[in-house]
Amino acid sequence: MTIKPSIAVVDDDESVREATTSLLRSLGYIAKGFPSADDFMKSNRLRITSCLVADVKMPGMSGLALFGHLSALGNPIPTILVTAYPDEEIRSRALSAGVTAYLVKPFSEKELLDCIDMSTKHGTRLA
Amino acid sequence: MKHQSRLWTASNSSLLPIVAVALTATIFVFDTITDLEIAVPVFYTAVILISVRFCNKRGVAFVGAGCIFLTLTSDFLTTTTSASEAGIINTTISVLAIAVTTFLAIKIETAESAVFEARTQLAHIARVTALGELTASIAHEVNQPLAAMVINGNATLRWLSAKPPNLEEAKQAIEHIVKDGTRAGEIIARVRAFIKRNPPRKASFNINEVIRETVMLTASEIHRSRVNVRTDIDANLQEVFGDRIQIQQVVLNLLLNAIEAVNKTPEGPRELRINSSNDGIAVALFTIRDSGLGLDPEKLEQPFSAFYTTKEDGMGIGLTISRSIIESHGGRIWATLNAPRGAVFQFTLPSEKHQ
Repeated sequence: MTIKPSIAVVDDDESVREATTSLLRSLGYIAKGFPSADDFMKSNRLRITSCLVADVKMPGMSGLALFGHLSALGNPIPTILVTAYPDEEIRSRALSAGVTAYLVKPFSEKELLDCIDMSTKHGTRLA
Repeated sequence: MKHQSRLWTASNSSLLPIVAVALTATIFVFDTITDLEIAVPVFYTAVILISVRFCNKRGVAFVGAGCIFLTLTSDFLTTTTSASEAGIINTTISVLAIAVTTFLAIKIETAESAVFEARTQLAHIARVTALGELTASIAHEVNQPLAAMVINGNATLRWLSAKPPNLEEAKQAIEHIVKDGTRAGEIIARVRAFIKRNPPRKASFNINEVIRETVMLTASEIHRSRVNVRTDIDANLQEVFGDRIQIQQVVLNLLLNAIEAVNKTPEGPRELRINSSNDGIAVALFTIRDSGLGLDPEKLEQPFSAFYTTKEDGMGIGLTISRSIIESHGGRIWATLNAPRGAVFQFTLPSEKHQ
């Protein structure tokens, strides 16, 4: 039995978070939403998460900081950053740090799915 | 001018017209009793000055004409002494005094109307400016539900084309779309209401709701500034009577100032505390405390003076207008120091029952 890829959605905005998890589930992924980076880190899903979709600007730890934190722990999860405030500086920092993609809200479904495909295929995830 | 067709303007106090009429009657009686050589009618000038408070220009002119008429009538009724020269001169002096006072009173009324009009316009400009500063916030607040709606729409399509179609999930997704669309609509409606150029409209309302709405409006600012906002409102807060949009303008002004103050402090706690409470029998009190750089204890009135600003591109009229709004509602607004650091801004408004 193939294990379905599990995607974590971290966003403090409830509407966007729930919508994204619903979309991902409708595509056959397992998707779980977390209102903050902290909540995600405290959950026991870090090992089974194969892709992370995180908002950049959140109260507390930002999406980019979360990616950095996970990398530093030796547990980098392929990450797609989404944001309502596109910032060129943050974008280049994120991409050079190894983030898979930097999407601007509202993003199209195709963009999101392409990025997830890319990250689950070429992700740095070790089984 | 709005109230041209009526003789008097709406006023909270119906006491003044009564006083004016009583005074007029008293003067008339005394005028009639005393003989022509005592220039009692000069006292009608007081009546005219009182009438400025509750009459418009036509009303004041009418009062002036009425007083002259009463003066001449008194003369006519005072038949005890024959018309002496001194008497006629006194009457002429009285009539002239009344006429000149009426003329000046009309000028005062015109000036006061102009000031009121200018203040209303200025308050409107300040609202528009504040809203301009909030454009990014508002765009963000509307953008989020829109993004969610698009995603939910796509999800619905997928759920419906699954084999078999998952109607339960599709229904949930559509319900979320409706909720988010409504949320976006409400934000726009509130912004529109805030920016309308209507004359002040008075009604009863609860400051707690104003606080909630204003905090929602500035949610993005608060997030971006990484400020911790705590709201402690009194559920039994008395309602107040006034123009809700103007009071919202004041709360917004104080909130934005507080966020800015905290933003300027590089390190240390980044906290805002907002309180509402009943202060005594008939007063509602609003308090906002920030952990910013604070104020000069010797100059706590300075922020309220016109064109005083600590912002690079600030106009310095926000607090001035806030004070003008609060005072015209019968309240007070002031600043004190917060402990251990920062500033406290408070305002009171009389509760509805005691208007």
